[in-house]
Amino acid sequence: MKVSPSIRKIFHTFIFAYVFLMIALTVPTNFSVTAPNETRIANTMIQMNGYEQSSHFKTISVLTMSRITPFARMLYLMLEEFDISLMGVYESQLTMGEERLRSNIQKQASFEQSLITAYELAKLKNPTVSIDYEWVGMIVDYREAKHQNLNIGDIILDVNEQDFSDYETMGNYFLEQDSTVVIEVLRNQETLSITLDKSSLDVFRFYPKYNIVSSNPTFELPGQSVISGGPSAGMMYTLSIYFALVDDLTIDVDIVGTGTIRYNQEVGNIGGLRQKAYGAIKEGIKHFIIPYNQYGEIGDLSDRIHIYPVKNILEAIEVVYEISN
Amino acid sequence: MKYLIKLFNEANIIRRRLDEYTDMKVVILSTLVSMLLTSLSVAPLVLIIIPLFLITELQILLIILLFIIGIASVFLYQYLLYYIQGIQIPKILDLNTKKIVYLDSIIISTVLIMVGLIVTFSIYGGLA
Repeated sequence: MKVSPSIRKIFHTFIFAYVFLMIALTVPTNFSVTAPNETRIANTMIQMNGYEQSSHFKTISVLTMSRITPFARMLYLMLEEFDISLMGVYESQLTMGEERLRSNIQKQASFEQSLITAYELAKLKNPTVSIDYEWVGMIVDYREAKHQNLNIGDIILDVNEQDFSDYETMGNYFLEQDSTVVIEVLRNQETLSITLDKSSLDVFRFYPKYNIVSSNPTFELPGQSVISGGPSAGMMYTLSIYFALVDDLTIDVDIVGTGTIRYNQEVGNIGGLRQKAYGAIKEGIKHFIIPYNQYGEIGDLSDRIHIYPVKNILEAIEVVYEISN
Repeated sequence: MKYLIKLFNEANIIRRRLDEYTDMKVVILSTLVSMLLTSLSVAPLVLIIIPLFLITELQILLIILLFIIGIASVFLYQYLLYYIQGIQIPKILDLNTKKIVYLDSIIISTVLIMVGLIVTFSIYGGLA
């Protein structure tokens, strides 16, 4: 087939442009992006049977993508609400499967912790509320790649046969160890003994693991089948459950919030706060509860949304009363 | 419906003629080349659309766009398939292969739309 020189020239130019475009569209970089997402009503994740939960408590998440392409990076740089940063240690060391597993572990931990915290607080006001639970151990959320014999998702039941009775003591003891430790681990319903050669500088992350035996009222966790994960909705789950159980307030304004709920009732820091604030602002929400330490990250947005920094869940409850009255 | 039945009957006649002209080698070669060309044409568009999904306001629009691209790529694939067969066996160029292109593309597009709708609703149902 004869091809004229001009067509050949056009073809060569097109091929170059095409290859260049495909490189820009496919080659991964070491950058990740965080983007605003939509809010979600907290009672779509945890539901109390027989109690009406306000639909005004909302959680907010972010959309993230790791190893974005050069084209995507160029695109996102043009959008003020997006945050592009070099990938963090966790993202760069873990596989996608491990990331997904972590996300589910964090979500499950926030369900358990928010249920326990809300029920414990609510039963001070409503004696019919009760919860029976036991602390099982600490679930591994992250460990450095060199500790491959410990899996993400393993539940540590004991360390050096110390027979701990609470999460904080066990966690601190484990992290402080600067030598070989022998841990008892629950993995796939089997109990294993694992020896770790660790230093006190090694990075580990855990969440407390509880077994909720019974509760009044009972609850459902429809959020378990929801794709989005992570621990940052813990505070809002707790508020949603607490105000349903105490039932002493009519909430008629949307309140969005973000922050983890910790074992000691503190509200913990979260990532992507600025993008979460943008997401809430876009939906016209006026009240935003955040972890106390992170106010500096979004303080400049306070003319667009009322920001309430809180240290613990009791302060968050006070904020809700303040907003509603 | 009458149009579809007519199209089906006509396409069957042309298909029988095609079977007489082509052998396995021609079919495999034309399938692979048309698949490659379709993928190369559609890939940049899809790869541009995927990062845009992070912009939540555009998500519905992008899903619709992906459906359109999906259907267009089926038509493109079918067109290229018979075009490449025609290059190898010039007699095929005399046949009205457009009828087969339309019929096959309509069938494949319908299946793709149904699968796409199920996947879309299951994902967005889970997210809602």
